[in-house]
Amino acid sequence: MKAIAIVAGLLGTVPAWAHHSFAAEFDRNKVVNITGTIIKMEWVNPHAWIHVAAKNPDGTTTEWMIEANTPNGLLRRGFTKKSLEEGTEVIIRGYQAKSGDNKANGSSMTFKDGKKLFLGSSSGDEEPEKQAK
Amino acid sequence: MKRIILLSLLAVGIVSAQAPAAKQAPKQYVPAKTPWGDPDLQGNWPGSINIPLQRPENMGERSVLTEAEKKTRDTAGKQRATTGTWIEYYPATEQASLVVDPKNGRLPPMTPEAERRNKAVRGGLGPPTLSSPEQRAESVDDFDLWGRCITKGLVGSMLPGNLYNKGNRIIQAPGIFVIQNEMVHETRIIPTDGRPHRGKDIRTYMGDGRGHWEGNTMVVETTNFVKDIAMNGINFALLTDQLRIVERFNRTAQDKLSYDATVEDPGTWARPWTMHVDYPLDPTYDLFEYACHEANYGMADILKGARMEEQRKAKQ
Repeated sequence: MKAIAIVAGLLGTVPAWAHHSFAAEFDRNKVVNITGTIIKMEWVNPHAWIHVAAKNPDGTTTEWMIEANTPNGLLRRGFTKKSLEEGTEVIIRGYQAKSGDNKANGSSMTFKDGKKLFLGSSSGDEEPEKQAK
Repeated sequence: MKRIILLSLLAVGIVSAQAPAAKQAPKQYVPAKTPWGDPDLQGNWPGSINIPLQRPENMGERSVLTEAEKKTRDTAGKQRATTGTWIEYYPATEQASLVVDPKNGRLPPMTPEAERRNKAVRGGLGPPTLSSPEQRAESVDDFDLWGRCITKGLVGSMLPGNLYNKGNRIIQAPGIFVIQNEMVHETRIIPTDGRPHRGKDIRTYMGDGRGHWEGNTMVVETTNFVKDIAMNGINFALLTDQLRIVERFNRTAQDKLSYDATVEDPGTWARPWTMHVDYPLDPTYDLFEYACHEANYGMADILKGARMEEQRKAKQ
């Protein structure tokens, strides 16, 4: 099973209103689904960053950086410091950076128990209010 | 004895009931005083409300939304938060636009000189905006001051909006009025002791504010802005050194802060204009440090992405 599935496809328009332009930084046509474990989370403005170790089929790991919402925005949507302890297994859906680096804008994060948290942008998942509960 | 008291009370009651009901004007809220005697405006006043800067032209001079219009705006705000990027949902209010003067709720026209000035920037592309790096990202000059983690300026820092991190905090001390904005980590420490402005050659992005009390209203006059920078969120016009902003802070209820800002720059707009916001008190809203530059990975990502795109096109 491929740990990282890159799915190219045309997505709906993603508005580009934030501290910086979404469309300038990320490729909205390059959706990534990353399965891995949490290395650390940077609770920083203007956007929090989540570091994930994704397992490759050959047993090695690749580190991904996932850009998320602001710390305050994440807190209001159900995130706490305990949500992402080191080693937590997650599946992250997002859009890869145009630079081609292993960076992505995160839209949602799914835990082993099926619980989802909204990371900041939409990829057609269910409403963030519902996910946070 | 008990009967006499009872009768007396009844009599007082009858007299009270028969007294003509005087028409009373609504009581004006009087804010509490600080220990040193100034009106107390302190607290967390987030601008987490959804009011656009300008009003749709077809609304004319109508400044209040109908219930249906308010619901439509509120629903659109929810939709943006659900499908947008990093956007938070803030409820709509009945206020049609932030701009309240001119009466049509729209910014006055820019002067021909300002139009010419804007067109001369970046080889005709105009002042950088939030989204301009999508068209060109050659250097940091293609990013606006917010994207560069420098400032949102005035009145950009005070704008409520449908984005995120709209916390504002007011702190007072004797002779000092402090306004702290969560977004881009701004703090204005404004003297209220009557001292004059700095010399006209000392200019800063947030300007030089001086405050004084008019009754219970704190009036802050700010000058000495850096010229030729864009006012974030306001037309992205390049401003001149004639920019002067007068703000009025008035606690009109225990949980409401009335805010007006009158902006004048005869080198940019044909006439002054005024915006108004009623900030709600929210003691539970705490400001989170906005150490923007240290974590602005987006800047490098965008510049690198643009170079990769150039290489890809060159190979085609």
